[in-house]
Amino acid sequence: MQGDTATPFANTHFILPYGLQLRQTINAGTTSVTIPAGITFVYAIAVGGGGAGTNITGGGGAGGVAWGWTIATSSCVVGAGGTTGSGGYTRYGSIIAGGGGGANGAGILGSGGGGYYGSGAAGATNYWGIPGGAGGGSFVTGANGAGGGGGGGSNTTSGTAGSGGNGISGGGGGTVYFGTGASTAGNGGNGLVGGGGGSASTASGSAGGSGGNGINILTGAVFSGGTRVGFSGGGGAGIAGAGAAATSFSAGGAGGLGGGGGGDGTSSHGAGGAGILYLFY
Amino acid sequence: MSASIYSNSQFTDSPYGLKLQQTIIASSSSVVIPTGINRVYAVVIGGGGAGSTQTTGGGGGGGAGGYSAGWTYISNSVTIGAGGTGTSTAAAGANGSPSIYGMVFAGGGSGGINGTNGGAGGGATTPTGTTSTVSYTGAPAAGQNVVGYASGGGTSSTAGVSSGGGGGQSGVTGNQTGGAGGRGLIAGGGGAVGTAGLGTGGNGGTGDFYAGGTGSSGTGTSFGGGGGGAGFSGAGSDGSGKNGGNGGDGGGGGGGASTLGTAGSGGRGEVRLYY
Repeated sequence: MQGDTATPFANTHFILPYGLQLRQTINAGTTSVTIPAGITFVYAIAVGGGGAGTNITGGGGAGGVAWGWTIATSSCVVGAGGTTGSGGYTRYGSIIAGGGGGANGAGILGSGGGGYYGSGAAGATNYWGIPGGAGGGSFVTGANGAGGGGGGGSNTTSGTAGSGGNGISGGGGGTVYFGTGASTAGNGGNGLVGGGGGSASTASGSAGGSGGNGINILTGAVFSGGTRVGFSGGGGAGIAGAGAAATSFSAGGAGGLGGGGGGDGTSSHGAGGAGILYLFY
Repeated sequence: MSASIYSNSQFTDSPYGLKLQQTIIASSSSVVIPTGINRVYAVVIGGGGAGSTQTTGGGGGGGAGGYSAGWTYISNSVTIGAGGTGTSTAAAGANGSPSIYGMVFAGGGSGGINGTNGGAGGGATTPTGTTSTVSYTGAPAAGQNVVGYASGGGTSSTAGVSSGGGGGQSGVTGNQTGGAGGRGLIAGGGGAVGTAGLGTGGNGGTGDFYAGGTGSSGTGTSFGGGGGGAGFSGAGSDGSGKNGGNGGDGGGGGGGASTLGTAGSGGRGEVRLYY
């Protein structure tokens, strides 16, 4: 930590942020932050809340990720995970990341698009202008991007749905909502934050999709997406926690802490993982 | 030990530890940077948009000015964007003007729409209407009522770094409440109402550093002006009667006005230099 009286011409600490320490981890619902006097700029990593799955509709997209230097403030917004749709945005100063799209919902500000039983929804361009991926058509995997596109499925024929696109934030897996013939749902896309898996019809031999993997940015370790159970999908991993497995044959798993997308289910779905905010100074 | 960014290969473009050296609130061609300082970190904020007014009912609030930050070469000239000026003419509110220092620039906020929708927040350039513009970092523009770096304007309080103005109400009877400006680092103005019933103008959006102004409330069309949005350097003003409140210094959006009242003006922009 240092004060606000230095300039680059008399200071050797400008190799940062490598040398910065994680000072605060802020969870959803928190609205105020205390920054020590003299700290004028803070390096922030903001992650939006994950999108929810929706019953027999599609997996939720992962929350967006934004990072960079911002003016220090005492205020923050950390988004909740979606329970029936999109997750909430997260903002600290000028750093802002969008919540993941719910099933069939487009991403915003770097988040993944939701999967669907038709064409998946588009992922979003992020804070730094990195483009999002397009949603996949029926039975097509979503395109990769800052926010991966959602996978496409079908409600008119059986088959194998598309997975969510990979990216910084993965798209949700597609769902197959058709009762005749075995079908396989799409997996959530992988990224720093994973998308939720889709669900499949209850015909014999059908299977849900697994949640996408995420990465613990503090250690580099992989957080696993939740596994499918029966017809329902697992939750995507967040940047701070693994995704939950589907809780039954018919109930999708929740997304992991730090924006994981919720898994789809045939009778109930998983909520998106809550957003998170890291402050370094 | 002394170090120089010009001889230190490990230097990265971190603003960490930099000190605020100058806050500039008026355009000038005589900015003085000390000898030996060849680049500075600039925070640049555009002027806020003005609210709109309508012949009947309430107009929308203005969007917040854009916020951009980054390293730039030094310059002796700076452009500070004025806030849009609110008027009592039934029309869209005036956009805020852009601010520029070196290669860092930010647009003004959109004025409130000629109707009830609030204006969009400014990005790197100035929007006109409810859709914002791309930010200096490259974050995408946002449509009506959509959260963004620069958020869209519209009917509801739409959050962002630079938020959109709140929407007014067209109804002229019954109880009406205007939409609040969005929450943001810099905030948009509140929308207005003009009704024979109880009318309450929308509050200006809450900023990170300052509060938005409160909307005017009372029975009849002499009330219902929206509050001004919070700026980076000052609070928004309260709505007064059917007039909108002004946006706070540092890009706050002006509040909408009701029934040919005078809409709130946007807050002026500014530039802050760190080195």
